[in-house]
Amino acid sequence: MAGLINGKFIDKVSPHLQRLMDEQKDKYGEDSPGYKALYRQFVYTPEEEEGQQEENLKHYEACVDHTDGLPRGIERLYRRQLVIDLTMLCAAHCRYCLRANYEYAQLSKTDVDEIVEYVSNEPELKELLITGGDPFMVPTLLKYLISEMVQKAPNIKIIRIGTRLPIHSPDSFNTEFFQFFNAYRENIQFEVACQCNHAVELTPATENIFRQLKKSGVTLYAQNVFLKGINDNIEALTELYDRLRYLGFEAHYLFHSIPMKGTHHLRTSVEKGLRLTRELTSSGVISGRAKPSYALMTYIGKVTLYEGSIIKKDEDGFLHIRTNYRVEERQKWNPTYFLPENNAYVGEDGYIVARYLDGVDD
Amino acid sequence: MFRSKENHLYSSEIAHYLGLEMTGKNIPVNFPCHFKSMKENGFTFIFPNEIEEVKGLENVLLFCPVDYDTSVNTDIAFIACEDPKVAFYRIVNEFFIEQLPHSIAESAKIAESAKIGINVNIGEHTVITGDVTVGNNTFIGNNVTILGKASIGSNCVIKDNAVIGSEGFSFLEVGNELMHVPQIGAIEIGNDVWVGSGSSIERPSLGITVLENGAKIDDLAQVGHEVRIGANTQVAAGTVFSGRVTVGKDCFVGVNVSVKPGVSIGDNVLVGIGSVVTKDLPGDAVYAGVPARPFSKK
Repeated sequence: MAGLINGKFIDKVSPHLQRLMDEQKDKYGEDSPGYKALYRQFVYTPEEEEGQQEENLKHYEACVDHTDGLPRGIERLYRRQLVIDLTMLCAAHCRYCLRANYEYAQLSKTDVDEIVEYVSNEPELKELLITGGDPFMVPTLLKYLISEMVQKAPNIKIIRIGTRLPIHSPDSFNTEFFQFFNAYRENIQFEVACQCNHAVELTPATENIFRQLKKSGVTLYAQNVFLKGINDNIEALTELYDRLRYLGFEAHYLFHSIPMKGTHHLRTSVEKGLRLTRELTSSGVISGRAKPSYALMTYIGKVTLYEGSIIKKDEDGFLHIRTNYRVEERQKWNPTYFLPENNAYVGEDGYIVARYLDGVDD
Repeated sequence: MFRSKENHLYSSEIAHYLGLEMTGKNIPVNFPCHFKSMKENGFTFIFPNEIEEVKGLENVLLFCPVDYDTSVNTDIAFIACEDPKVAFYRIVNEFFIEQLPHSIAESAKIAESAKIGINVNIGEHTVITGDVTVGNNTFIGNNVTILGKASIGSNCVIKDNAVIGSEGFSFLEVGNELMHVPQIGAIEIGNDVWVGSGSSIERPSLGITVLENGAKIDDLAQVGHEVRIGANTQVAAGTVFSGRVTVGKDCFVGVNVSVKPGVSIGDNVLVGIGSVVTKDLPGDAVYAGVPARPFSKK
């Protein structure tokens, strides 16, 4: 997750990923699943420019207009939870990044002070999701944010941090965090979310970071993306969820790749992901304990798919997805919330229906 | 307390982090360098007169002053800024160091009455006795002595061999004897305070000795009983404050300054090296000499 630098989402492959890619290519060749999984995720190809229906620049619309007076860098989509975008920096750029087209933003210490002040005056907030960019890219600022929260906002009980740094560049991960989380674990429950899309990403150096985090009392959970040519087959998914489970990860979401501009070649149909997640457990491939929830990020927020969630597919290739959100309920904690009219409507039963562009299988 | 680490950033990303503009070539930046020993993919800061040496460099990032002529070399990246050194160290601090993990040494003796915050480091053979509180993330080095009653804020650094709460030097002449005045006051140290190696912060007889938020005391300094050092004031090595001295905020007191008991120094004062301060010094000025005299307005 990283934004535009001078109007461009630059090509950025970390030295660690480059080494890993070279190694996979030398050992197993260009068609090997491991090499392809890395290459397709991180290396720019002209396919990104090809004519396609996917044209979103943002993965959802906040649809609120009360940002005046609120601290910079926060978003409150849910009642008890606050999202903080600490930085837009990442050690490598995933080509299907949700935030590739965001303006580059970086919070300062003063911004963090303002956020802490805001949170301490909102007792309903219990949980922070610190994301970006990669929060572990700015370790000093991240530690400052956490220790200030603990000191001044005791209403916060859970801090979630979204990262791919252990996969992108394990050498850049500050090891002081192991002791830091351990020191703060009695005050805060730490949860680290990592996106891991193929077992090839789990090198010994990467696994070591996860093990150390686990030892420090951190809960690990996986939010992965279902991507064409990377993990859209039962073998890749099985190995991925097995390996993650051995490391103590909780499977959380497996996201269908969002219809972002430049991602057409990485998007399967929604149906394919649904079929494969069902196959993962129902045929006894992996334990139900390790099964991810298959989800979509629609314009109105995240929707977990169940049987019957897909109402229909229209002639423009959009799926109509029944959600569990109601407009009135959102407005309770977000009074200025409004529905993005082109992408959602209220269904007969009062729940919001989201329109979501399907992908295409080869 | 720190070790260096390599990192992988583009010079354009560094510029964006600082909210500044980059000119020249966008290069990968992996480690900080000294200007005299630049290597490719390194970065450093330069002064206005450093031009000839810059011409021969390739694939480096330089923080330069705002009016620097960056056309002298188009094979490197420049980030022009008001204070290149500050910009350089902001980047080093955030991206190119790792803090050594905090821990509490087994050989440290910590009284049960002490309240120690979260993520505090306490080094080997450090002794903490009496009524002491220490805030979160504070680093206390090896062989430090802290005698209560004392409170130390968060994010402080107390270096090796410092003594906080040493019995104040205070005697009364009674007939042929010197009667010790028992020091039963307290010490208050704010947040983000440094106390250097071998420095002593004395306990007062009745009142309090105070180091306000952000005060920095270098090595081998003596802070007498009931002294108050203002916020963000820096005190260089070897300086001695006798009892009941007060120093305002944002001051810089040079190396080996001696200050007479009870003297008051205003805010934003600079006291030159080796000065002997015998009377009050009003704020916003520079003083030096023996005895210290006004030197210029600040």
